[in-house]
Amino acid sequence: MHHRAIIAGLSATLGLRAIGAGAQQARAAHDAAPASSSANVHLMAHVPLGHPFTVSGIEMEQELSRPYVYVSRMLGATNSAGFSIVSVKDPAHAKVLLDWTIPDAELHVGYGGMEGKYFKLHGRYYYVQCFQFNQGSPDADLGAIVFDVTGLPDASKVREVGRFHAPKSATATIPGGFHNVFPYKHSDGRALMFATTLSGTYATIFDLEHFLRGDADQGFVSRVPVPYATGRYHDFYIGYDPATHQDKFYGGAQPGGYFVFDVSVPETPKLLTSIIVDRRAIVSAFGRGHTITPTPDGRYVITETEYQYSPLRIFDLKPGLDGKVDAITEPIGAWTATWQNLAHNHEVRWPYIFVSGYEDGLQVFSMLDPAHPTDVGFYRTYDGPHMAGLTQQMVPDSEASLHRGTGSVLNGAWGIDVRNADGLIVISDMTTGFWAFRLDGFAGWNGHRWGMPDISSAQDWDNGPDGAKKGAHARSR
Amino acid sequence: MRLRAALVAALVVAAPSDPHRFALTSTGRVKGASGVVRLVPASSPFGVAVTADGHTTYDLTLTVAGLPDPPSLGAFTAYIAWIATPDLGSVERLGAIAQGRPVAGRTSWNKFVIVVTAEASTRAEKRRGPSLLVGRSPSATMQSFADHPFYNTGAPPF
Amino acid sequence: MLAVLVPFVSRAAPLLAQHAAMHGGSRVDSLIAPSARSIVPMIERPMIPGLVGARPAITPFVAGVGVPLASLAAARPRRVIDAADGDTVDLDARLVRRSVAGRVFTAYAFDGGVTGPLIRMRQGATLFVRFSNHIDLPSTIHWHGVRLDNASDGAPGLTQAAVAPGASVVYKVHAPDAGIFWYHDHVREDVALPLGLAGNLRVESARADYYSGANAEEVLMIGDILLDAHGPIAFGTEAANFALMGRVGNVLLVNGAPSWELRAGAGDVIRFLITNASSARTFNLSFISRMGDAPIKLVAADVGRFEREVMVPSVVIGPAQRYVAEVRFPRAGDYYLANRVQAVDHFLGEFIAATDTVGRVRVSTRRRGIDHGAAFRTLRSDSALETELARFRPHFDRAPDHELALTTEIAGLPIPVMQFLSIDTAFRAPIEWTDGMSDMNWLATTREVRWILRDQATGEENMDIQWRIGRGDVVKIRLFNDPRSLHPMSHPIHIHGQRFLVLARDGVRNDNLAWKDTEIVPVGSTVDILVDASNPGRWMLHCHIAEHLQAGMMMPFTVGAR
Repeated sequence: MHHRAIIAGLSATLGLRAIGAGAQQARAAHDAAPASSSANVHLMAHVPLGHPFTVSGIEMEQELSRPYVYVSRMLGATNSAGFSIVSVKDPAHAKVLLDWTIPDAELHVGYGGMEGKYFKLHGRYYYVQCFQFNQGSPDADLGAIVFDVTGLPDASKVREVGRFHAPKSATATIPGGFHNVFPYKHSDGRALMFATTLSGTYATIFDLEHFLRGDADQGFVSRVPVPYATGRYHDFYIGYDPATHQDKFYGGAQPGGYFVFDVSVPETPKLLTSIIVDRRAIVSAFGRGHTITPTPDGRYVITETEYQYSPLRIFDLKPGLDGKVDAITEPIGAWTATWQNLAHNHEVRWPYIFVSGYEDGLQVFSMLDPAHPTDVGFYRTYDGPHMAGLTQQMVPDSEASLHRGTGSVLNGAWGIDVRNADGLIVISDMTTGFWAFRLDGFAGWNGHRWGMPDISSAQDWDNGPDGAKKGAHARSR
Repeated sequence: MRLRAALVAALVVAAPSDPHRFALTSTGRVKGASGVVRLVPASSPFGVAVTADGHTTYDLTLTVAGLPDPPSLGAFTAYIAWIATPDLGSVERLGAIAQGRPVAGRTSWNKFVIVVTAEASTRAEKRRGPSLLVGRSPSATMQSFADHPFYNTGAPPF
Repeated sequence: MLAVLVPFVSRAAPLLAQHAAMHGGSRVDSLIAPSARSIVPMIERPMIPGLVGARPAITPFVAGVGVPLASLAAARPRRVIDAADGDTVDLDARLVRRSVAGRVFTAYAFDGGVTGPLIRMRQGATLFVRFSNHIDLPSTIHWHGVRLDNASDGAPGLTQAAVAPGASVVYKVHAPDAGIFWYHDHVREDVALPLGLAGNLRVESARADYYSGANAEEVLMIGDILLDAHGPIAFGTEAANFALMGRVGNVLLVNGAPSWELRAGAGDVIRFLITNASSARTFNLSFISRMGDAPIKLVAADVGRFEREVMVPSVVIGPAQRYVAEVRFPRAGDYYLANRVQAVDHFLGEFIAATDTVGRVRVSTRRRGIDHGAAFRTLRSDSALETELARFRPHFDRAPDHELALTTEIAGLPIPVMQFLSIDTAFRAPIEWTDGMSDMNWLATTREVRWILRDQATGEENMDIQWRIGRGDVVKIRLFNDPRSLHPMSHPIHIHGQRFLVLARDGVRNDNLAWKDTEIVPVGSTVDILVDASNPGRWMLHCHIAEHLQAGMMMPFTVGAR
C-alpha cells in the first residue's frame, strides 16, 4: 500500500509538471496581456443560453452512458427560472435538450434556479433543482423540485416527481428556498440530501427514498446547526473519510466561518472542528463563509469567501481534527487568478482544483503543495467588462439593468463540474452560457492513482463511498 | 447568500414612494405595453376600511396602455385583468380590459398581484392565456431581513 | 417652536435633580426601579446586532422615585361622579400602587382611581373642577373634545402654566355637545397616559331619543401599557423615548385593567361608548364568538351622531378618538371583545394576524329587560344634524384654506437604525397596528426624531405656524400624510376646542358625516376636514400620538374676531 502510494505520487508529480509547463507559459502571457486561454485548455463546446444573468450552477452526470449536464437558470425578471439540460454526448457538439421553466415564471421574483444535483436510486436517475424565490412570488417557500430524468435523452420523459418546501425556521416561515443541495450516498447506505436554506441557521438533511415515497415530513432526518453564530450555511460538501470511517459535513456559513461535522449518524451531527479566522469581528468579510471543499483525504480544505479581492484560502484541518486547537484560524496557502477579482465555486480532483472564477472564467490550479498552489491552466469564458456584475444597485425587475451591470465582480463563471470518467470539464457562465473543455494531461480522475481515496463530489451511487465498511449500506442500492 | 441580500436591498430601495399606486410591467411578450394600478382605501366611517379581522380594504383602478389587438398575439379575443394572492392560491377575475377604460375592483388581501392575460373570450373565468402585464402591490414587495447583513453579524460567544 | 415643549421639559428635569440632591447623584440610578434599566420586550426576532447593548440617550424616568411603593394606596376601580349644573368636583392627580398582569408598580391616578372618575353631566351644564397636582411631574387637565372656554383647555404654555407638583387650578367645564369625551394630562402625555391619568366625561343629551334604546350602557376606555418583568418600561426625563412609533403597549387594557367582563341577556342591545386612551395604538374592535360576531351598529363619533347609523364589522378607533356603537348579542354564550389586526412584521416582511382578547360579555339566556331588537335593526338618520349641516355644505367643495403636510425629520439615531429606516421602504402600511420594530422605536427619543406639521403655503412648521381664524369662520384644511420620509406613520390629528367634519379622504367624498375632534390620517392619505371655528381663543392642533406631540408635532391657531 505504501509502495503503491509512492509510485502514484511520483507519477502524479511528473504528470503535473508536464501540465504545469504549458500553464506557466500561458500565465506569463496572461500577465502581460489578457489571453483568452492557456495552451493546455481546449474548448470543446460553447452554447449560449440566453439573457445575461440567467445562468447559475451546473451539474454533470458521471456515467459516460448518460452524457447530461444540468444548468440552473435564474432570475424571475427574465422569466427564465428553471434549468436547462445540455447533452454532451458529443462534447464538440453539445446541444440543449430541454429548457424547463417554472410555471408562471413571469409572476416570480427573486433568483429562481440556483444550484442543482443529480442522484440515482433504485436504478432511476433524478435531478434536484433548488430554487430561491422572493416573498411576493408564487412558490416563495419552494426549496427544490425533483425530476425523474431516467428517460433522457427523450426530454419529453423528464417528469416532476416531488417538491421540497423550505422548512420553517425557529421563528417563522421565511421564504427563500434552498440555495444549494448535496445528494450524498451515506456510508450507512442511505441516499441522503443535504440542503442549505435561508430560513434558518442550519442545513437540513433529508432521506431521498422517504421523500420519493411521499412522506409527509419530506423525508426529514435532522439538521446540521451553524455553531455559535446566527449565520446561514451557503455552500457545503459531504464526504466520507476512510481513515476515520466518518461521513463528514463541511459547511460554509455567513457569518460564522467554516464548520466540519461528523454526520456518520446523521440524526446526531457532531462538531469536529471550525475555521474562524477573526473571532472578534465575525462581521468581517472573512466571516462570510461561502464554499468549502475538502481534499479526498479530508486533510485540507479550499474555502471561498464572497467578496472582491478574496483569494481561495487553503486550510489544514489536522490541528482541529486532532483536538490541538479549538478552532483553526490561519490558512496555510492561498490562490487567486487575478487579484482584482473573485473566484467562486470549485471542484477538487487532487491535486487539481477546478475553479469557476467569475470574471476569470475557468481556472485550474494545483495544490500538490497546499502551501504553494500553482497555476495549471485557464480559459476566459467571460468577455464582458470588469465590474459589471450583480450589485446592490441592480433592480432585478428591470430587464435593462440585467444587461447593464453596475459594478461588482459577480459576473462570469458561476459553476463548474468535472466528469471523473474522462476528465470533461463544464462551466456555467452567468453571461455567456454553457462551456465544455478538456485539459491536456487530464483524461479523468481516480483518487487511487494519486495515493488518495477515490473521494470527490461525484458519488458512487451503486457502491457507496470509497473505503466505507462493506455491509453497512445495503439499503438503497 | 450575499447575492440575495444584495437583491433584497435592491428591492426595498427601489420600492415606490407612493403607497397608493404601482406599475404594471410587461412580461416581454408585448413590447411597450404598460399599466398603472391606483389604490384608494375603501370608504369607511372610520377613515380606514378594514375587515373584522384587520385586513385593509382597497378600491383599485387599473389602467393599461399599449396593448395591441388581441388577435395579433394569437387565438385571443380579449385581455382580462386578474387579481391574485402572490402564491396564486387565490385568483379572481377583475374584468375585461377595453382600451382606455379602467377596470375597477376591490380587495382586502394583504398582498396581491395583478396580472393581465390574453384570453380566448371576454367571458373567461379562469386564467389560461399568457401573462402580458404583471404588477405587485407595495405590500407584496416586502422582503425578509432574516438574511440581510444587518442580522447576519452576530458575534460568537468567545 | 419650543414654546410649548419647553415647559414640558424644563419642569420635569428638575425633579430628577431634586432626587439627585436628596439621594446623591450616584444613588439615583439605584433608586430607579429595575424597569428603568431593562430593555424593551422584543418581538420574535433578533435585535439588530449593532444595537445590542444600546440604550436610549436619555435619563430613565420612573414614577415615584424615592416613594416606597408600600406606602402608596392601591389604585381603585373607576368611580362615577354624577355632577349637576354648577357643581364643583375635586380631582387630584396622585401616586398610586397599581397592579397589572402580575407587576406591581408606582403609577398615577386621578382621584386614586384607574381610570379616573367617570363624570356624568347634562348637555349644556357647567362643572367646576378643582385640580390638585400631587404627582412628581407638572400637569394639567385637557378636556378632550369639549368645546369649553379657552382658559380651561389645559394646554400648558398656551392657555395656562403647567400645574406644578403641590399646586392647584380650577377648570370651568362647560359641555355644549352630547356624547362621550375624556380628560387627560397634557404636559407629559407620553408618561401620564400609560400610567393612568385619564378619565371619561359622559354628557347626556338634552334629547331623550338622542341614542336608541338599549338594555345597558357601558363606557369603555381602551388603552395599553408596555411592561417588562417588573413594571413599565422606563420613560425619558429630558425627552420621550419611543419617538418613532409612539409607545405601543404589550398589555391591552379596558378601563385600566387587562381584563373586563360584562353580563348580558340573549338579545340584549348594549350601548358602548368607547375611548381610545392609548399613546399610539389604533384598535380594531369587535365582539367575537363561536356563534359568530355580534352585530355592531355605529351611532356616533367624537362630538356627535353620524348622519346615518351604519352596521360595521368592527370599530376602528385611533388614539384619542371616541365612538358610540350599539351591539346586539343575539345568543347565549360568551362573546369576546377582541382587537384583531394584520400586523406588519418588518423583520420578516410579512403580515401577522394578531388577535388580542381584552374582555368578555357573558350572555345568558334570560333577557334583562325590554327587547330593543327592532330599534337595533333600524338605521336612523339624524335630522337635526342634517339641518345643522346645511350651513356648512356650501363650503364642502371649495379649495382648502390651509394645507398641512405631516412628515418627520430624523437625525442622530444609531447608525444601524438609520440604515434600517433607509432600506425598510418597500411598504408603507396605512396604519401600523403594532410596533414591529420595538428596539429601534425604544432607542429613538424626541431628541433625534422631530415630527412635523408643515404649512404647505408658508413652509412654516409646528409652533412657528400662526393661523388666525375669524370666530364663526368655516375653515377647510387639507391634511396630507407624506409617505416619503424615513419613517412615515399614521397620525390621529386632534383639534382643541373646535369640532370638524371629515369631508373627503383621498379625494373620495365622505357621505356620512359626523362632528369630530380627532381624525386618523393614514400614511400616504389626504384628508379634507371642515372646521367649525366657533369657539374663540388660542388653541392647539396636534398629533395625538403622545410621543409625536412630545417630538413637536403641534401648532397653535387663534380663533378671534373676524
